[in-house]
Amino acid sequence: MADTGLLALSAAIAIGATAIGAAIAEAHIGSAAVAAMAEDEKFFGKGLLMTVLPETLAIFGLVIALLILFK
Amino acid sequence: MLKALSLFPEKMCKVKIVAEKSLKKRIIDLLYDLKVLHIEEIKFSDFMHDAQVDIENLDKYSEMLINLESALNEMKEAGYVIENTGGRISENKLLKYEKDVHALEEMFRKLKKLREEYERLNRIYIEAERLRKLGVHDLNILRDNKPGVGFILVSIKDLDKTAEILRKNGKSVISFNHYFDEDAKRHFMLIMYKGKEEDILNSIDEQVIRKYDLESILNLLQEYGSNTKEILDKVVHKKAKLISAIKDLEETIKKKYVKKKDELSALLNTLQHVIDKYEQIDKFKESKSLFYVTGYVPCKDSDRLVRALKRISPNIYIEVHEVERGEDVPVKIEHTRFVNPFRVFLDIYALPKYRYIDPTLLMFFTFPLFYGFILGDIGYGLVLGIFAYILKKKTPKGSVMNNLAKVMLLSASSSIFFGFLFGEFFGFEKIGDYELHSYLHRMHEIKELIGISILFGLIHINLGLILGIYQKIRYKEYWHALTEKFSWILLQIGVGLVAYKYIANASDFYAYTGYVVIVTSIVLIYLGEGLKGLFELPGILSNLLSYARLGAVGLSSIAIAYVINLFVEQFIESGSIGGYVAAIVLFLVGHTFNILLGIIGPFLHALRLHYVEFFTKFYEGGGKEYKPYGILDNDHRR
Repeated sequence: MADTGLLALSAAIAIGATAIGAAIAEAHIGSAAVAAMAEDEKFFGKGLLMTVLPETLAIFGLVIALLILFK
Repeated sequence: MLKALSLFPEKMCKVKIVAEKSLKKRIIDLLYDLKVLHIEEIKFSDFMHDAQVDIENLDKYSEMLINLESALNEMKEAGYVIENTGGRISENKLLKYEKDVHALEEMFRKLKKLREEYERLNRIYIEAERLRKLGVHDLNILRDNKPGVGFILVSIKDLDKTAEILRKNGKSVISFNHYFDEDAKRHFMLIMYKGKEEDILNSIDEQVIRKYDLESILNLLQEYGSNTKEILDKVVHKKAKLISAIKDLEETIKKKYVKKKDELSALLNTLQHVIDKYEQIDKFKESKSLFYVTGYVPCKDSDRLVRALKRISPNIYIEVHEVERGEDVPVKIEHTRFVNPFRVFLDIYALPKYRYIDPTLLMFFTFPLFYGFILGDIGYGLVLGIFAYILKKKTPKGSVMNNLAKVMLLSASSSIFFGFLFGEFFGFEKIGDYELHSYLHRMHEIKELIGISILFGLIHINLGLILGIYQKIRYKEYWHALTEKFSWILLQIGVGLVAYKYIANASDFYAYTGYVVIVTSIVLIYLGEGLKGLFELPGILSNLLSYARLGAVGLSSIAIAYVINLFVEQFIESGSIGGYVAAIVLFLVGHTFNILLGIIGPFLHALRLHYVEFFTKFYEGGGKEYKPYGILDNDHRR
């Protein structure tokens, strides 16, 4: 029983911590991207691309969480 | 039909037209009406300069347009919206409307003046009323400058404290009156003092919210005399008169012009076109005797253009030829009416370059597929469909919102389809008593769900790479096709072979072959993209895993729906009236919240998978839009 709890907690940390990391990074990049877009709308594509790059972190976190849960 | 299913922007031809200068006006009129030529501005040469067209009354047309636009804006603010019905008036008859437009504009100017005067009276009333409440009946008391005596008008925070400070200042403060203003929610105070104004103000500095300029207030009230009571009476009387004048004028405008709204719309449309036509006249060039214009037309329209020009005069020299590589050709994207709305995604991102792949058609299939897979609920799909249908009806045809509504309508159908596949109706597994059959149970078959998501990714990403290869081969860039695109497919095959050995416990042959393929692909990537490519090696894995969101986002949505339903069922089982009420409220609030998340979430995630994972494999953005002469900017995409 204790093992199940620890597994759930590990999965939660894996997804939670990576999501927070991605969020902090995206907040910085996103605000810069919006500022660039305000100057020139053509930056939308590039801005979006840059903004979502750190999302990979959260996805890796999700994969690790799933691996832990379905081990 | 084949053209409509094209993966490339429409084929364009370059056109050069040279004619005698005497034909200038007729050619310009024809090109404007044909609406096919995207004019290219050419650099000045020694003997060519901007074309000049002497149009009688053009200044008057401009003035009419400005007056009409400002009048229509005023009408819009007054609640009378004049929509562009697309009607036109003959150019020769435009001047007939000059007086009408002038009169309309004059009326609105008068209306504006009356309203401003009304505002001014309001201010006078407030100021006079304030002074009356502060005990001033005769303004001359404030006006007479007795030596060493002055008045200060302030609003203050704490009445008691201010009064205490002023009383202590007995030598300088002669008297002070005050009252509490209900509307402004603060105390006002008029202080009569001897000596220096600054000394008084400094002593109550912490209490003062705002100091008012008494002199300007007195100047404002001057024209109405000195007695505050009389001023108030006069102002009330004048305000009543003004209100009736404003109402009369509004009524006249309404009667006279709202009836004519179609005519006004046609007039606006015609004026806009006439001005637009001659505003761009400097794109045409002329010399002493010749008139010259160059640009691009869709090749399929070039014959029509040539025939129409030859009808003006067989002597017009027209050159039509295919575009050369490296030319900055405008991009025209045209699909069938079902596919066209998806072009909005390229407008937001960046148009493809000419001769490069236009993924609108592919997005027509993949976007609703991803959206539906994420939302995957019959109930939510129906709600989304109704919402999208209403939005489609309420928005003007061709606008961004209208196109998005059409995209959402298709996505809703896809959501309903996947809803049947997953067997979900508002998160329930049945509709009434009818049990839905689930081919993939999202809550219980999470591994399968994520697996299918990544399989979608595998297909989507490799489709992108194949398109990239196709594009490179089309330009005979075989080496780039091999090292920049095919190498990534090879890398995946290699990893797949190694994984197969370990997962299926297959023979070592698979693993060794896999390693060889991986090393080969890495070398190719290095040759093609250099060190940057090596750094991006793990990128293909994160690209693939990114598609896990297709399952994961939907899973979070169904989990929320499941929790809502769990509580709802428990409330219903309680059997009490309170329980039923709570169940209904929770059901409505909870699912509305979930639908809102369900509309926004899948949209952004499906879009992102296209922009970030798919487009980066082949897309070349940065094309300039095809804007034919004769189509106004604001109805360009209709």
